[in-house]
Amino acid sequence: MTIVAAERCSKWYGHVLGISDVTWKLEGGIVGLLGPNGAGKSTLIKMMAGLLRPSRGALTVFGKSPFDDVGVKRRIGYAPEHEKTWDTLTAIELVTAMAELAGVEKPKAAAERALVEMGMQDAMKRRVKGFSKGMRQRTKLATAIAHDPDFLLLDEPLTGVDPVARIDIVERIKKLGDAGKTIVVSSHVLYEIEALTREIVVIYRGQVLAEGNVYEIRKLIDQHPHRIRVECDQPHAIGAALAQADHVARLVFERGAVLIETRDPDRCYDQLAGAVLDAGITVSTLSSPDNNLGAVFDYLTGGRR
Amino acid sequence: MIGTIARVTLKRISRGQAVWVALGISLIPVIVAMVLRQAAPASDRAEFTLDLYVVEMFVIAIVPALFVASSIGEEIEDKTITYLWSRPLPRWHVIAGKLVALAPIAAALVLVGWLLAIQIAEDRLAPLSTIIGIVAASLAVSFVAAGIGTLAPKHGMALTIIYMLLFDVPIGEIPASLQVLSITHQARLLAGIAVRGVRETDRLAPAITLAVLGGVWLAVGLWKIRRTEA
Repeated sequence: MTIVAAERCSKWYGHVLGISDVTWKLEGGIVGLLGPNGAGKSTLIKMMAGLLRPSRGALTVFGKSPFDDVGVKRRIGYAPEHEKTWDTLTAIELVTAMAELAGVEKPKAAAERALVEMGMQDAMKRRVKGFSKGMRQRTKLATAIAHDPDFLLLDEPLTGVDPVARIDIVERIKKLGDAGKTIVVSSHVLYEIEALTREIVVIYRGQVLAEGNVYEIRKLIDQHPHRIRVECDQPHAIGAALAQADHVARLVFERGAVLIETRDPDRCYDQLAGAVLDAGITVSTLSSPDNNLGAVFDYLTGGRR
Repeated sequence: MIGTIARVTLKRISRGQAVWVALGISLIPVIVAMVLRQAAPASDRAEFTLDLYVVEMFVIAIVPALFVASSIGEEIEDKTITYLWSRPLPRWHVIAGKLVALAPIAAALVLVGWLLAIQIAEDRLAPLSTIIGIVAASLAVSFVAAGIGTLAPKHGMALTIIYMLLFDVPIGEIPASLQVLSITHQARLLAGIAVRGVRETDRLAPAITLAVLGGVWLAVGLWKIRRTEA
């Protein structure tokens, strides 16, 4: 069954290109949208969520235009990229409101279920204002799943999440996939996508560059050092734990942060999680300023753009 | 859906500072009333209504903008509107929900200030016609705020206040046909507060004009929200 069908779909913001002439079909499962920042991932996701209308071409979800057909949104769950939400509400109030707006009959029960599913049972009565990035991401995911949609759109759901929470969120998303949901997850970090699925769609400069299995693109990306920036209370302790690792190419210390360049991100993330737990380090932000992905895509396109 | 949006909007506004700021502004006529009462001899009491209405026009220009334009504008500007638009609800419900929640609060605050001011200055209850005029004006300005807040979300509140203070209030004071476009002028006619050079007419015409002015701005807001992308 076709969940999403994009037919020569383009989107411009004035003179700025968002998506260009994309023809693509999504049949089901968990699919990763991979591309550097500004590639068009969020634009495509917003079009699937019915927030943007294609400038040219057509995009349908379950056979209907999500921008024009309000009803089809009952089957879609969307977690946006941005962090801002209704911060003065508690998590349970926020998710209950979202469930109610999606037409759920018992919204509070559905919201509680969704928050528990995202591991937020202990914080559901706290205001979103005081949440860490990880808790905000979990709350956003709960708003997306509270009405039990068939199709989930998760825009950068792992951005800024600490390593331990990252593993937990990945497992929870995988569980949703196992339960039969069709899920589109976007990221500019291959390793985040790879932890979730083997099926990827590579987007670059508004076009679908490649789709299919993750292994080939991974080989190319592994040739380039991957950067991980950790904002924490003990950056030097993290540096000490990783300094001897053969995959670490460089460590750069900044005020309250350390930038790690690694040739093996999987091992690096594992060791990082271990170091954080062993030394009791408080990590406030974990990000991957992975501009080198753009270089790989330039290489892939052979400079034809 | 409108009820849910209204309920959430009320919850959010009750946990912010806007209500207290608006309350402070709406009490400005009360302070003016106290000063007038102290300064003027008792025989001039009847003149206070007109003086107080001049002050009240500024309150009417600011309080609804503070609630409605900022609420709609922030929702669009902060992109939290994406949460609403990704739900299966018509977009006009967002504006309607905000207005259902906020327009009555704005009107109530404006009215409280007016009632207290008249009571203090003139030792009497405000006439029913003035209550109707003040409430109608406040509701109409809420619709203006909804329109401007949707058109220019980033500066919706400021632009609504500027529109009211630099366009609506001044043209209402100019004895020309353009006066008909002034909400504060029409509200004054509806309230039965003396306008220079205008004989008291029936209240239906200003009531209809206020409804049309508010309706035009509401239509602008609804038109814009249908086309706005997140």
